[in-house]
Amino acid sequence: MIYYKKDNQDIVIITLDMSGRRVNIINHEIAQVLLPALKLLEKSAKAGSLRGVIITSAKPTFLAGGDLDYLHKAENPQDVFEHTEILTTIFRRIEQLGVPVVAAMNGSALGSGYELALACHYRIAWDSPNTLIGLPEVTLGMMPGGGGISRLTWVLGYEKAFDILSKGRKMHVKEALQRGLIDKIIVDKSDLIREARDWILSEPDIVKPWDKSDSIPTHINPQRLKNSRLIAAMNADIARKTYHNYPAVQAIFNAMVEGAFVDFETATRICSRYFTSLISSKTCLNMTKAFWYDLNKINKGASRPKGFGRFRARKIAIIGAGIMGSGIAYTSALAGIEVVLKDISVSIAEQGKEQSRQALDRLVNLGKMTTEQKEEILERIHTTQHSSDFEDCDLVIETVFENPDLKKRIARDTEMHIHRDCFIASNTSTLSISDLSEACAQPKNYIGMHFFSPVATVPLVEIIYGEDTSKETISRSFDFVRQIGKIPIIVKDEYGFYTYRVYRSFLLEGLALLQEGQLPNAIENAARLAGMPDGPLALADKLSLPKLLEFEINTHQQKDHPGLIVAEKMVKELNRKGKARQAGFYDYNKQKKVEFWAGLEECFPQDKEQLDQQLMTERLLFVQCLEAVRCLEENILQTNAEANLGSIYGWGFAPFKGGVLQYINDYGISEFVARAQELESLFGKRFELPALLKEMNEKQLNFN
Amino acid sequence: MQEAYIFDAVRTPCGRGKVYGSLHEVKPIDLLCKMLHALQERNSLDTKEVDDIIVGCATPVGEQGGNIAKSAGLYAGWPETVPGMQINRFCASGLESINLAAMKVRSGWEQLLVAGGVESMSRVPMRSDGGALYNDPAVNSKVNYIPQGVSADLISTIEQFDRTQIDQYALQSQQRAFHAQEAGYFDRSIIPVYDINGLTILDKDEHLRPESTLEVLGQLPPAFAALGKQGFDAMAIIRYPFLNEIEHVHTAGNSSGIVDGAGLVLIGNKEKGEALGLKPRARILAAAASSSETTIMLQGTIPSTKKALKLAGLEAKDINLWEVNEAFAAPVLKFQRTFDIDNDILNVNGGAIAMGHPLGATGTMLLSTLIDELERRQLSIGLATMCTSGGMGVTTIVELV
Repeated sequence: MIYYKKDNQDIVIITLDMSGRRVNIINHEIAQVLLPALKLLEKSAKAGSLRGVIITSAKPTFLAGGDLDYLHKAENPQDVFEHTEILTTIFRRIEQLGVPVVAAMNGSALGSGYELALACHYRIAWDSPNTLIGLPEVTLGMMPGGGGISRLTWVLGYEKAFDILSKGRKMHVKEALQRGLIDKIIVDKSDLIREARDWILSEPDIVKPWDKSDSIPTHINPQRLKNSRLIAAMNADIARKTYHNYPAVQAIFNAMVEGAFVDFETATRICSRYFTSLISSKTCLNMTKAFWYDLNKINKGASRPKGFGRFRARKIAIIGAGIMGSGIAYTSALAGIEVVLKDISVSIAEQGKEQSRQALDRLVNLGKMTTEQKEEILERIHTTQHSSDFEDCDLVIETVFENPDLKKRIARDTEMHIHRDCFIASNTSTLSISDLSEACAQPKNYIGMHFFSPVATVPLVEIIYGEDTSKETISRSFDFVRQIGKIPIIVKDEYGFYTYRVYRSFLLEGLALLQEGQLPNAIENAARLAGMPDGPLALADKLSLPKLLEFEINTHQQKDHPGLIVAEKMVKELNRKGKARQAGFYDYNKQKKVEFWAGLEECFPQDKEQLDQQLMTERLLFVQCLEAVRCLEENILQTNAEANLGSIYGWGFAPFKGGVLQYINDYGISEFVARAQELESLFGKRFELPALLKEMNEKQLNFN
Repeated sequence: MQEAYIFDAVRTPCGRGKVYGSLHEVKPIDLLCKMLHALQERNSLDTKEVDDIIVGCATPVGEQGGNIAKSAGLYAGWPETVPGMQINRFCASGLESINLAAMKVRSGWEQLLVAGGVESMSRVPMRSDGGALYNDPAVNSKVNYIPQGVSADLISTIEQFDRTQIDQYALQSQQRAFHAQEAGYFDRSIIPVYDINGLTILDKDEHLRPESTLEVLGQLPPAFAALGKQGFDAMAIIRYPFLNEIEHVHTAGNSSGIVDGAGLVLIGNKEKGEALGLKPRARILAAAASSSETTIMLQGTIPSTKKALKLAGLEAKDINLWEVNEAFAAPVLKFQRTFDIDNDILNVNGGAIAMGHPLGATGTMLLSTLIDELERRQLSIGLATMCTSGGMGVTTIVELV
């Protein structure tokens, strides 16, 4: 519902307060209540008894955005289009009310929530650390549907508007102000309404530029030579960045440009049509599934052991101030946790802390943080060389080299310096947690936490439980990972865990293609076009080829995998072990551009028959999906959600496909099964169908 | 020699050529693409067999420029091996493209073509392309080029058509078009325009004003009197010194409407048609272009029609149905007088006064209407003709097979 209150200066305050919800969202309900209110406002404006309108919210946020549940399930494009047009019309009527309308943003305004604010004539936001402003639709494969694209394009021009629309980043109010998304910031929340009222009484110009003139302004007129060159260049940049895999990014740009050929009403209708098309697109379905439903499922604790109270780490210790250790220290300190950063000497630990200082300096320089805030965060990181400083820590994370003996020794030493309720986590990507915990007196308090590099930006942490790890330790680990704002996936202690095990299947498939005589460039581009972050040969170099071999040696999984022949030849015969040695599939010479090693063609001669790009792409993706299903089958993971997000954030599986399992849904499970069988007959047992997949296909189930 | 056959003809409905017109939101390339898809689907066309796409457009700049024919072919997903070219014969572009395609087929060097036209007048307004005839004073004064509306008034002045006669003709166009629309005579050729979601944007011509009466039409102010006064009347009289003044009878009601639309036809020889399972609907008997005096401009249809009749070995009385573009009422009446055409076989389903004149697309639409109507009436020979800027005329004669 909404509250409608008119004061003695003829200013109406509309307060949004949807019943039964924690936040206000834009849905059918709000349209139902806004329309009568709008009618009333229009009537008073016409009668001259309205001086202005202030829109605010009774919730901690202003307006959270669209109704994803409705959009995710919507099947009839006519309904979606009409729903969008209603929204667009409401916003347009607010804009054309004839009196000043102010968005008094007492909290976050996101998506269509921000679009409402954008339709107002003035936007004031309360500067709270929790207030986020932005149009994140694109991150779910959608676009703003309420005319916001047209408004931003007019106001900010192509480049600035597209930067905001195509990245979908949620920003704090200072940045939003700087980028022109809001007009004013207030520090004291109680000033919000007063400021809004003052602005209304200042008799501002409230006619939007697109209502002042019929003609398209020169700065966005696509027919101007300067703009037409800019548009072509921006469009090429989209291709470079997305490989045409993100229809929403393209639709946003199309709508921006096409809107600049026509009047405002037509421009917003064009947006509604694109919006409707995205809602029913597979990409939107995939991305909403992964980045909304799967993410919420994980964060709500679908895999967290039940029955344990919420754990909050007050103080933690990190052993090892290298790249990973200092990254974890930084991320934890940012989240408000006291951190003891230990290395063999204080000066080495200080070097690790220096990483945090540099990262924070960047934030200060970007205006995202004050110097005081920076100092406060840095003060939370205490460097040391003594384990005795662990005594009041709730968690110790060990981040030393992947050396089992060293890790065991540290675990033993750590146990002697911690209190009973403290637990120990080892940051490892492959070592067995059960093995490492053998050294511990309390293996139930020992767990694996696989952080990804760079820690500050990769949002995933693999939590690995050993044979003896207690459920409580798992639940506390889960809570800690959430506390530092990361996504936890809970994984059984099998070699390679989840992420590495599946990731390597992708790398090996790339190597197999090379063994078959496919052109290296074609292999790399097939992966990039498929949405992987880079080509398998480049990524295998980065990982190091001996490490790739090690897995197979340790697991004896697929000794006859054709990719192994390549890895062995590279390591044993050619002594080209990867990027760290500056020699792998590529030559890494700092003075020169990174290029394929000149001897590659001779060692792996080109086959006369070059495979179709589509087939290569499918092979590279299918191996990953099949391996992920095997992990599910073997209970390495509990939920599909973790498999999906683990794949996207763990190794960069095509986000627009929604992750490894959603890719199977997207492909169609029966089509996927049929195709996998074809691939198996052509390329071997690694494409063999896991029983789980066969069973699901028979029962016509999806990976929900 | 190869004969040229028309296998199919499609067109969009015409949308009002204004900001509030239904097709304003649709880009010209999309109008064209939808027609390419319609031809492809309706005929299960193996598009790689198409030798060329020829698209006429009277204002080939901006979104309509840059060879929209090839652009649309690529955008429609047709094979990269199919070329495309854009032509400009002003208002007759959409008929000229068909004639050119027919000539290519008859040359024996090409077997199957798509020809037609497109014009989004709401998005790319007339004269967006400038041009020397109108914008270059040296050229304009030498050739004595005046606005077409003034030329139309010049014709009516010389021919002594009075305002009532002109309005009467306009009313007939409205009534005939509305009747044809209601009776579904246009349905065979009209392809509704859908958006990317399959939602209908426009499914019938929206420029019609069936509520028109002679009285209402009579009250409309002359549209070109002010232009005339600016000096264009004087320019007309310089060329036609036997006149004292120009009587301005043309109004928004008896001139063609400004609309958006596109149309395409599929043309080829018999052999190719048989190979692809295409059924010929009509044979092109003759195609001709000509030109006449520039200032009066709108009478080029007369020499081009004479030329076409001669090529076909026909006389005017042999034509069963005539489609003469209603750019304005007067040129049609003048044409009718010249060839002594019975009113019952001239523009029998109305024309551009009622439905609008999407410049580069009109000729194609005229031909599709003509063939549809010949079939409906089970007649044989039809003639379509268009006058254009610069005094040119284009004529096509078809015979049902």
